[in-house]
Parts: sequence; C-alpha cells; structure tokens
Amino acid sequence: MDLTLTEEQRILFDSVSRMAEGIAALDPAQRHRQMVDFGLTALGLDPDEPMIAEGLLAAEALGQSRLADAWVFTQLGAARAIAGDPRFAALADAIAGGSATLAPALHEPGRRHDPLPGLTRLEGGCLYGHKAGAIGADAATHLLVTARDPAGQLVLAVVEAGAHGVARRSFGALDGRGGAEVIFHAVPLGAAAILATGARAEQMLTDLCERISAGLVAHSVGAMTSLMQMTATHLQTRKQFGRPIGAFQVLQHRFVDMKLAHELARSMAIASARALDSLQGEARSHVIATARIQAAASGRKIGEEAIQMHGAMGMTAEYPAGFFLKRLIVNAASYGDADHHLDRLIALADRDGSAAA
Amino acid sequence: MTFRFSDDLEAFRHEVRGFVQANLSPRTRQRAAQGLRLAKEDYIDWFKALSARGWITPGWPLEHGGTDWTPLQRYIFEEECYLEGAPPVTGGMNMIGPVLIRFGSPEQQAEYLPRMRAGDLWWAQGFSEPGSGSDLASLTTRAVRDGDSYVVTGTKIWTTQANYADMMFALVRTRPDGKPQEGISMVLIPMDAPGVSIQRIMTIDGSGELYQTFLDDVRIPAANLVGEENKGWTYAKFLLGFERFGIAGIGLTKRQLDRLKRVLAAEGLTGTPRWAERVARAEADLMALEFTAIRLVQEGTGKPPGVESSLLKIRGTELRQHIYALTLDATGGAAVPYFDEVLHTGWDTVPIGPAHAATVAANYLENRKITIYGGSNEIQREVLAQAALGRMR
Repeated sequence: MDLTLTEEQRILFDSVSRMAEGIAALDPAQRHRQMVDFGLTALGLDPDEPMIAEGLLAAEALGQSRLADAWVFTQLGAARAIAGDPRFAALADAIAGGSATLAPALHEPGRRHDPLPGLTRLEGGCLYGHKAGAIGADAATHLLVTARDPAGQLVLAVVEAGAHGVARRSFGALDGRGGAEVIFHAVPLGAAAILATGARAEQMLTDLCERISAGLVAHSVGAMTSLMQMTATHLQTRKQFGRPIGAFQVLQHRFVDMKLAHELARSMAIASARALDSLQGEARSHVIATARIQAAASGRKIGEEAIQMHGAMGMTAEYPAGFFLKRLIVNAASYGDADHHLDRLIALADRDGSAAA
Repeated sequence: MTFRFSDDLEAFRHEVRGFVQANLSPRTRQRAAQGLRLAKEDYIDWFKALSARGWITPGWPLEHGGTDWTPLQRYIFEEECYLEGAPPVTGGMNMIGPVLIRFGSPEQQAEYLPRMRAGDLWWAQGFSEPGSGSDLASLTTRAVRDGDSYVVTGTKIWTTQANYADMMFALVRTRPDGKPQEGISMVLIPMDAPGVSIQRIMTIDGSGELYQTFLDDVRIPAANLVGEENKGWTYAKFLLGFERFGIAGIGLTKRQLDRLKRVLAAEGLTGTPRWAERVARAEADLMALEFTAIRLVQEGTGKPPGVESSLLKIRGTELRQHIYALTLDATGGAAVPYFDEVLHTGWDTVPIGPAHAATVAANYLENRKITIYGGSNEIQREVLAQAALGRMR
C-alpha cells in the first residue's frame, strides 16, 4: 500500500483548494455552478475510472476551505452509486451538467447510526417512511433512499424529491451545510426507480457508506489542516508578556500533540483511499472503521485545542476556528460516530481477525 | 455517596434549596433545564428575589448588607443556586462590590451599594483589551486627568452582557512610564456617557452575549476614580482574589451530568457497558472534585480560597467540558441540525429531530469558553506552578 501522493495529485489538490476557497462566500446556486464548471459534479460518474484517489483528494481540499457543501455525501456517495447503470444514465448526465443533485437519505429517527431502514418500506408500489436529517437532502432534486420491500428485503431506490408524497423540512447543519429530514407518504415508485434489491442492495449500501466514510475522513483532515495553519500563525504572531505566545514551551508541546493527531489522521485518510481501491469486504471495512475512529479523535482534539489556544478570539463567530471545529463535529457524527465504528471493529475481531490491510 | 455536612449546615442547605425552589421563576427554571439562553428578565427577577431575602450580596460585610455566613455556608449557597438552575449573580456583586466597600469613597459607597443590594445596578467588567488578554498589565486604554474629569480613550473587549450594563468598572492607564502594573487605575464609567459605544461579538455557539466596548474621549468625573490613582492593579488583584466560593461549579456539573443521563435514556443508551463506564467515571471524578472543593473551603476558614481557587477552576471547568462533550457524543447525529432560534426566547416550533437534541451542540460550543475566561486555565496553571515551585528562571 503506497501512502504517498503523486505530483498530479498534489496539483489537483491545490487547484480544488483554491477554487473552493474562492467561491465559499457565494450564494448556494452560484457555488454549485462553479463546482459544476470545475468538473466536481462529473467526478466518479464514469464507472470504468477509479475515482477514489481523486475524489478523496478533492474531499480533503474542500474540507480545508470554508466552502459549506454536501459534495462528500452527494457526489462521492450517492452519484457514484448510480454510475454506469444505464437506467440512470440521464440522471448521471444531469448531475454532471449541474441540473440535478442526488443526496443519500438513509438514517432514520431513533436508530442512531444504523444505515439499515427500520420504518421506511415499499408497500403496494408506494414508499412510506421517515428519514432523519440528511445533509444535502435540502437542495437535492433526487434522493437515494433505503427501504424494505414486503418480503423484508433491502431496497435502494432513487426518489424524485419533488414527487407527490415527499415532504422535506430543511435545516442548516451546525457547520452551515444544508440538510433536510424527509417524510414519504404513499410515494409511487415504479420499477425504474429501484436501483438494487436484496444482496446487491446490501453490497451497494456498504460501498456507499464506506465511500462517504472515507470522504468524511479526508474532509476532516482538510479541516484539521486549516486549524493547524491558523493555530501555528497565532502562536507565532500573538504577543503577550513581551513575546509570541508560541515561545511558551507548554504551548509548543501541546501544538506538537495536535500535530501528531493530524499526522495520524492523515495517514488513515490515505489508507482509506487505498483500501477503497484495492481491498474488499472485511479487510476494507477494517481500515475504514479505523480511519473514522482516528479522525474523530484527532478532530476533536485539534478543534478544541485550536480554540483554547486562540483564547477568546477563538470563540468568536468571525474567526474561522469555530467553523472548522463545527465541521469536524458534524463529520464525526455522520455515517457512524466513533462508538459505532468501534463496534464494527469489535464485531470484525470477534468473527476472525483476518483483516490484514 | 453524597457529601453530608453537619446537621446545622444540612438544615441551612435545606433552607436555601427551599428558597430557590420557591422563588426561582418556573420560566427561568425551564429555560435552564432545556439549555436555553436566559433573558434579562430572568436575571432581574432572580436578583429581586435574592434582594428581598437579603441574600444578593452574601459575601459583603454584615454592616454593608451582607451576611455573616461561614465559608461553608457560602459554598453551600452557591452550589444550591447552581443546582437549581438559578442565573449567576453577575460580576458587580461579587467583584466590584467588595472593592468599593474596601477602597471606595463614602460617596461611591452611598451612590452604588444600595442600588446593588436592590438588584438595580448592572455592572460590566472592563479589563481585557484586544492586545491584552492573559497579559492584562499591558493594557493601553488611557485616562487623562483634565480638571475635575478624566478623559478615557481606548477599547475594552469580551465584555459580557454590556448591553444590559448600567456601569463599567474599568482598568485604565493613568501613567505611561514605569512598570506597567504601576500605571494602572480603576475607574467607574457610566455606560450611557457620551463616547461609550458597544458592538456585539457573535460567538461560535450563535449567542451574542459578548461585546466590544469603545471608549472615545469619554469624560467622567474625577470622583469616579476608585481609591488612589495608579493603584488599580492592587484593586484588581484584590477583586480577582475575591473569587466565588463556588468556582468549581459543582452544581452546574451535576446538572449537566443529569442532562447526559436524560439524553442517554432518550437515545436508548442507558446501561450499555460503554456508557455505564463513562458515566461512572464522570461521577467518580465529580465526587473527588466536590470533596476537594469542600476540603479547601474548610481549610481556608475565614477567607476565600486563594491559590486553591485556581485548582478548583481548572478541574471544575475541564470536568464540566468533558461532560458537555459526552452529552454531544450521546446525542449522535441528532445534534447536527442546528437552529440558532431554538436558543432564543419565544421559539416554539417543533425542532428537527428529538427535543432533547436541540440545544446540545450549542451548549457544548458555548462551554468551550469556560477554560478561557476568568483567567485562562493556562494562566491558572502558571499561578499554581509558581505557588508550588517558586518563581523559576
């Protein structure tokens, strides 16, 4: 497993990073247009192309910027799930061209981090159910939804967000990304809307969740990078007691502990990308769950310490440290928190322990 | 096991609890329980109730309208107030009050103390400046004597609830040369004086309780100088040494621990091995802190804890933050949707997600400040290190 970046990948990272920072202050429609023009909404739609390395680099670059966008969920997650399926070719084209967005809406109220559906069901050709706050679902034209069919099998379906019987309540997430909870009542779903059923749906759901998880780790590492940069600058320039506060050894050591946390998370972000490309099944799950646990721990530590070291300035909404802490909190609470992924590791270890990465 | 005081003190605790339960308005109690922001009337109503009972300034000398409570009684009083969700008695009573009693002129005492005892005077603290946080002695706001006046120019920052304040007690520079600490004076500035303006600072939790206060050629009577010119540093140290007995905030932490348990129950996590252990550890940590706080108050008979208050501040704030973080984790994905309005008075829409989740993230974020304000925990550790090891170079 090669954990280093190529020159092309570095260039891609820098260009996404610059673009994202440049458009962060625009309104949502303008931002989306710019992301389309940049090619971010086409990424991953060719099933023959491995999108993961590039996709995760883009996720990290977005995470480093102040652009609040659901791209990790909509593009890395949902759009890739329909890539190559001829029945959804028109939707894929519309996504690439910017006229459609597909957001996953999987989790349900009262089921915490379980991505499997409890309430949502297909009955008589209609969809009924309730999805908890899903990031990206507010602005999406289409929703990727899990449900149970009358036989109890898992179904993955693509639902038009404007269809009769779909009710959305939008919210702004803690970190400014948009989301919505969604209620389905007797939404007619034809066979054309069913992406997969049974074992194939289960595999696709696992892939989807692991892609999003890897994307969230990369996105979080980007946020950590920004926090590290601003904290370093603050330690070097903020003067108290006649010297930069970074001259105080206790702050130097704490900054180094943040740096350590950042490096550990970065390694796991890269390992996740490689695992998605080259590993299958439990071996892949093992790496991704580990990455989520590390990113959650590193993110919390770096976010909290960055604010503490900035003092009262770090508490202000105007200064971006709080924004990135909130991004890290939202990422860590999405698609399984650290406990959820610890439970997955424990379950894998119980089963065998053959998860060599 | 909970700490049991002597029968007399337990009777006192019972009396305080009964008073708080009878006099804290149900509206304030409900807001506090839900983690909502308190409005000015929540504070004022509570101050009036305390004032009527003679308990608004328990730390003042008896002859100035205080109480003759022992340190343990004052500790119990503060903890019981916290435990019931009462608003904190704001800076003026605890900080500037004792300074005016000790160093203020008879005219200042006659002017301000009765209004403070009545709960009618709200003070803002004017210490920190944009360039002077932990290094307070480097402050640059100037006060220049001009006949019977001082003309004050500069900027104060992180002023809590400056929008409610009638007066500010401020540290200003009255002598530019010499040791920084020796050129500082304390003055009293009416917030409605010409040249005083405030600007709200939004914080990461979406609240706007902090302000920057601009002082542009503000003319105040020379009689508004506290004590002697250039002795302000001494008064500030006196004032900061007069820290509250409840600085560990045990009652606040107990409340948050109860809230964590309610969230765990609502999320179906109560009694799971992982959460049972986390809760048990937090309770063990809290008991050790509580017993330490009580021991230090007992040992410091007759005076408030000095250096020890740094110890209680560090451990008290860090443990409380830990429990806020646990509550955030327990809430899981339900903490992600965020509505600023949810925290404000009058919000009555059904939140997205479960009701217990609505304020959890904002409360976690807001409480990142408690290790920063009131002397950051880094500064508190310096104080403790110097006390333990001496000044080492």
